[in-house]
Amino acid sequence: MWRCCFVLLLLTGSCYMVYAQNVVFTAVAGATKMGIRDQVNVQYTIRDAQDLRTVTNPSDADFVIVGGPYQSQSSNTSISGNRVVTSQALTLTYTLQPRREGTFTIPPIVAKDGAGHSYQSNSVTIQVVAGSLAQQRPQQRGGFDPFSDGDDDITAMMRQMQQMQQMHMQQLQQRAQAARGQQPQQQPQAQADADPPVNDAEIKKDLFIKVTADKSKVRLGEQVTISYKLYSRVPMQVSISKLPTLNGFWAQDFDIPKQAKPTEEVVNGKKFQVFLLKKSALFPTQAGTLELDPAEAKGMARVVQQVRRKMSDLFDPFGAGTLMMDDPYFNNTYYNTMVYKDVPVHLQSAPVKIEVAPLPDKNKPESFSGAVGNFSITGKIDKRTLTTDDVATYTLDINGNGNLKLIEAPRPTLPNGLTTYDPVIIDTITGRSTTISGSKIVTYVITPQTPGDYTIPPVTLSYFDPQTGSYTTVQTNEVKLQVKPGKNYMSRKPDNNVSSYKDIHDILKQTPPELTFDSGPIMHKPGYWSLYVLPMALLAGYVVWRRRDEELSRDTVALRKKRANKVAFQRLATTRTLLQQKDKKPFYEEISKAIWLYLSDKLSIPLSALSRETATEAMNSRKVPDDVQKRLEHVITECETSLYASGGLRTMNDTYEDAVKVISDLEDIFKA
Amino acid sequence: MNRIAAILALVMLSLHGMAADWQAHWKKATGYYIQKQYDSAAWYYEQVAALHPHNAEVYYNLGNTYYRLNKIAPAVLNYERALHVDPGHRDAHDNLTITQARISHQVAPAEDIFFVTWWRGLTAHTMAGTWAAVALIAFLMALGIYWARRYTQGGGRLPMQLPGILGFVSACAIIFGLVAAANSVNPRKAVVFEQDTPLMNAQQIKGKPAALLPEGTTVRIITDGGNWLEVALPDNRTGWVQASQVMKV
Repeated sequence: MWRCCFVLLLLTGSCYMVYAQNVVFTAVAGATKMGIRDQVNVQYTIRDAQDLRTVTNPSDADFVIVGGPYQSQSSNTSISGNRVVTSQALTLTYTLQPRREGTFTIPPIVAKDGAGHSYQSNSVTIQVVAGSLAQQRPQQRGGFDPFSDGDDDITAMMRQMQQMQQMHMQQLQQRAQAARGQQPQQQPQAQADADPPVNDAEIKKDLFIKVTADKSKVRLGEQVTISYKLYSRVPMQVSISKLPTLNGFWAQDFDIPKQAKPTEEVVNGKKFQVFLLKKSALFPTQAGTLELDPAEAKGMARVVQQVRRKMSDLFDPFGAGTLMMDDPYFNNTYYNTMVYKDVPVHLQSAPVKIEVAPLPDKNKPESFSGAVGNFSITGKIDKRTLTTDDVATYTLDINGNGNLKLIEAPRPTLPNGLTTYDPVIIDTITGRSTTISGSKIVTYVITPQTPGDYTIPPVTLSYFDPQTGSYTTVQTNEVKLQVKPGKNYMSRKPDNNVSSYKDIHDILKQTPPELTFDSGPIMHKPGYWSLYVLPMALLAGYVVWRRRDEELSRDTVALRKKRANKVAFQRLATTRTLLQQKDKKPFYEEISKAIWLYLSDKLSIPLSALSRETATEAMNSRKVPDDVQKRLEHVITECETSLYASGGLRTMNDTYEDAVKVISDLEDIFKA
Repeated sequence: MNRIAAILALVMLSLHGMAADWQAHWKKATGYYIQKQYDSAAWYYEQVAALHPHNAEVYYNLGNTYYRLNKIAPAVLNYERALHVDPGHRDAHDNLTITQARISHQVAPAEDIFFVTWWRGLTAHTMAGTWAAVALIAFLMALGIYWARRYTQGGGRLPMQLPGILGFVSACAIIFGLVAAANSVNPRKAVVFEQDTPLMNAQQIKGKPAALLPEGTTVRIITDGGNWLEVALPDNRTGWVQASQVMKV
């Protein structure tokens, strides 16, 4: 069992990376003695620590950390027997500058790994003396290792070993990359550190641009003069690289001489040469607080500098500030000399705020269209008389100083018969001394369409005078214009009937006999609608009356039936007694007689002329329904046949009933 | 009818005080017109027109006066009024055409679709009386025929549909008549009084106007929204104008 495990361990171990477990944490200072103006690199190397979490920074009680930590990692892989031993090292480099002279010990720094172990480096002691020792150092250095700054023997050996490793090249690249990456942020610092006089702030005390506005509070449209001035106490060559974007303004530049002669000005007790770069008149186009963003200038300034060369700086990959001092002259000089140095400068002015107040609403004339300043207006027309074939040019000339360009061109109100198109507007700026003055010439081309005498009314222009703080209105004189019909004049009259008339029909001169007044349309009168309502009501009344009448007559039907029955009973009164006596023969005779008598009476046919045929004909003309006639015939036929045939009592009774019914029906029909 | 006569008499009585005045005004106005003092003439004619008489001549003369004064919009307005009172007023029609020819950038009238023209013709305010008569006659005939069919011996032979047809005719005539009557009370026309009156797409001043209407343009009122009127131009474009910039005929 043990064996198996061991074999397994061996097998796996053959390809198992074994990390050296003894963690070493060392601190190495680049120099043990340094000048107060020098910088020193301190390298902390932690070897074979795994899963490193935190590393504290060196105490900055005596030193200022001016750079770092710059990290670099290295690993060393060696094979001993069947084991691959990998050793890793993490190097943190700090660039320190002493705060004061003396001998200082930089206390150890502490690194902690993920497992909770903490490792401590050794402390480093550095002696700081007055002045700078930088120039002595290159001589002390071996110079064969350009990437290390004054390592001790151990680290030097370590580095040599590292160089033999496969990852050597990668290392170099990494470091170079790191150095390059840090270069931009490090540069100004390095520059300032290496050459304290060439300090941005220092330069900017001697060389700056200033934007000044003559007023900080203006009215909308009021002129503000801003000047861009370059103040300088050092020789320089600077040009403006970026002008403020003048959002919210209409700007007009003043003329300034090309080769500006500097003036002298004393600022903070120092005499400056002042160059006027640019001068503009600004006319705010919106109210509120407007900010002129900074103007920027770029160029070179020549700075007098005391130079003390440090060879090491050249090779310090992190002190990239040395890049600008690659003049061999400096490299070989170890003396303090006064040297002119060209330093690139980037100047920026402070932003200027201008408060723009809106124009007062009080007394604002209707014709006000944004003019602020002091103006006059004249109107001219090139012809006084013209034909409809010609065109006239009406010119408005607005003259004065102020925000000329922002004035909306006034428009003459032309009388009917004259038309014009959009004007041609020419702005001319003539004066650029202290205020912007000039003229705005608005040209309208007027085309007359109808002959006649016209008057172009005065054109008014209102402006706000910031001097007096009030509105002023000026106007042109009115212009009279006579238009005669031209050769091509055709009066535009769409109606053919009218084209023959040049003029309107005359008025009706006689006084109308009386004024009439419209009493409104007939349909809006109740009288009209009553003509609908009345017949409607009449008809409705008639209908109602008729219906009632019908109802009444329906009641009389019953009455009539009764009466008809009565008649039938009267006619058949004798037959009834015969029926009771059951006397057959006289009964049928009597019935037959009664019916014929009744028909003769009702149909107004004498008995002698009465036959079945005549009776039927008469009954047809009286619209006696067929069934009644049939029944009648049936009764008559029965009477005739029963006279001779034997029949029972029941038949006599039936015949009697039938006869009664038929007579009463006939009676009903004849009475209706 | 007696009541109407009474109302008319009342109106006449109340106007009687002015009656003498209007004739004096008229004479003065005509006198001034002949002397070419059109300002004064216009003032006196306006006094007469202020009575809102139903005499086309008053508006016609006033229109002529304004034409002489080169005031296109009032001239057009008064010709339109004259034509409203008397659509057959030939002179007013001619003068209106001449006046409209002086409008710069006149909106050219568009041809209407035939049935729109028909409708306009049918509902012209002059037709109000005719339709009223037609409607009434058709109605009475319908009633008569109905009665005859129901209650007379020979009436049964009349076609059954006749009262229905006549009733329909009457109803149509009533509709036409009512529209025409409404047109006669309110001409639903307006004349643009301000040069370059903006025609807006909505009832607000903001935004770009759809068109600028020249002074003197006659527009049809579609909707009367108080401060804003929806109008149709002679070329049938529609839009809104401020009521203050136009004058209703």
